[in-house]
Amino acid sequence: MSFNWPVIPFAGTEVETFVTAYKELAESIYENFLDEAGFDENVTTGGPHLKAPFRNREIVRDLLENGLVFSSFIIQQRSGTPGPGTDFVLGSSPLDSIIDSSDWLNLLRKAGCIFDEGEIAESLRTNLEGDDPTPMDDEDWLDNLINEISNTDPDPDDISPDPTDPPPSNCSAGPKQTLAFALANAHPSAMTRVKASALWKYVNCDGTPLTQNDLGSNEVNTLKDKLQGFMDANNDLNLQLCTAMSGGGGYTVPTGGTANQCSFYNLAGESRGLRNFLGTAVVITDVNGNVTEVRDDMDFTYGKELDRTDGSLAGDPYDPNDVRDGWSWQTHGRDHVGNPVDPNSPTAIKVNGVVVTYPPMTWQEAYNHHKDERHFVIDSKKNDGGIPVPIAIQF
Amino acid sequence: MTSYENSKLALQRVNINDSVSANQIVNTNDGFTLFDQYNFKDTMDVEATSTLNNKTAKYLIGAAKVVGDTNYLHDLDGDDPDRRFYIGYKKLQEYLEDVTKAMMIALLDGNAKRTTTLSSDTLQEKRQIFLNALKKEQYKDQNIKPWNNWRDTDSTVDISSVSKTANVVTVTTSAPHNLDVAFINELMVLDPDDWGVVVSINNTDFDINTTDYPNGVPIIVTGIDTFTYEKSGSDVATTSVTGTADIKIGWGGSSNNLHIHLESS
Repeated sequence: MSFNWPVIPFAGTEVETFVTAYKELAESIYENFLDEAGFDENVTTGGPHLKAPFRNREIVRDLLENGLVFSSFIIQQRSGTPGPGTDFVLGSSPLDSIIDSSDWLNLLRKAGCIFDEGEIAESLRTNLEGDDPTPMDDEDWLDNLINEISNTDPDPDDISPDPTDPPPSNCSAGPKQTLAFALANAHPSAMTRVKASALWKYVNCDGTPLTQNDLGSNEVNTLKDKLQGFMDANNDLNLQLCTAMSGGGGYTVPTGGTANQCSFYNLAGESRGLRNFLGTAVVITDVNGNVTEVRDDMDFTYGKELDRTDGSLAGDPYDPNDVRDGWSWQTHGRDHVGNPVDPNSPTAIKVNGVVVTYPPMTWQEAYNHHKDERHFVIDSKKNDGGIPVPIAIQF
Repeated sequence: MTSYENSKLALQRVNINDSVSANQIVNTNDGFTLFDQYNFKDTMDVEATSTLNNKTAKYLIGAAKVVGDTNYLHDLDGDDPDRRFYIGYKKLQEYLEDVTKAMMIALLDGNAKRTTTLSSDTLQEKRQIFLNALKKEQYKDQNIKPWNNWRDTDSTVDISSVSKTANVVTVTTSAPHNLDVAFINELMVLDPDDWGVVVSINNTDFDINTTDYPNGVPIIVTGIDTFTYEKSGSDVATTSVTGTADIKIGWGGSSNNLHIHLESS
């Protein structure tokens, strides 16, 4: 079950039939979204088929969920059946029964009851700043992984660990995880298989670099194609998603080539499946702009993180002493999107010049904040397992 | 909760109208009660919004970590949907409207107008229609809904005269326009309010730009041969003209106003 449907306060044959059909179609859209949303690989003229606001499956799910009430109301009106929502008689408003009133009242309080848009914006800025936000994880690819590898998505609202599926022992995948990874490794998407290979190493505490030798030729070629497409789009369209590293950043770079610090947190990266796998990474190119290598460290704010202190580079083997608990498990600051960060980081949110700090997350908070396949990482952390995986793939 | 937790604050199943005003708030002994009506912002067409500025994109796809961007906190404005500071409700409500329309078109029979009958299409076909309503122009399939029938003209009538007063155009047709006024909402006996029009009389004071309004603008039927619609501009006295009005059908106006109230204490 992927949806948290509101209670519909309208009754009648037409509207009830409509609601049933709406839910069935919405579930079907969600389940098939990744296959049917459409993407044109042409770098210069192509791209996603859908308009920008509707390319993310989770956002579409939220919109579908929230569109049910009003569409049902229209059906109710067309059917001519009386019901709530057609007058201002106290008690006949459908709103009270269909919103999470605590959230809504909370929002109204934050709005300061000043119904001026400018004032609301200002008030929200002030009042939301002290909130305990839900972290927006930069490793969202785990979300997508579970959706891609299985038709048995866990209920995202079930925030408790499954008692019938206890966390795996330290540095090993549990039965459920093993099954999921087996499915992932058989998945037709080569990118999914690449991601699964990296996560498999993480949960099994294999901290050696993931290299081209750990992957099949199809996976390597697909990853290269995606990276090349990204770099070409970045250059051709002047997207400015990469920064050339001075002196090659210490990496071994082909003569005339470049080490590029790239962010995949953008549509160009998202559409190629790179955002959720790499987030940010170093992409090395030769003098002709051909991608020759990618370097990254796969670690998690809600698992184990790698803080290299020996001058080694992303993708290199690392000193195990540099592995520490992710910032979620320590007193931390949070950046503007709620990611736990080092309180001393310049990205940590400040109020009146003082960093807002948060206590270490509880397990429940972590399970609440991090969904789906991320539970694998949390499960591993719960047993003090899982270690960062350097990524150093040459093409 | 997902990363989009705060988007739900903006969505919340139904939405407080963004033009909510003080006269919709009644103070009570325990707090206040807020009254509002919700309806589609665009009551005629189905074109989904494609507006997505960089800051909205940052919010929607988590693209905040732009290399070298460390000053994003310094240029926030009222349209910044950064969930830490602003919920971006206007944009989200537009997106919600688009998805709601796409679902109704996919689910309902025919052109999905004025009906409660479900389509007999397969689920796959319905999914195609849903996605088709949200696609970029070059990827739209013009042979399936909504693009193959939503903007169809219901009828065409000849116009004999027009006038404009206070940004309201009054059209008089050469013959009765035969626009039904009793097909909807039998219990409430409201006038039908889903008619629209594209006026073409070669006069920019009155013509409807189909680029901006491909399914016309809403009209109010005021008589057997008259109707009105809104168009800004200077007043124009009654003028005899030659031209036509393509009558369109939209989603519905006041008949679809969802009345809501919220009590706070």
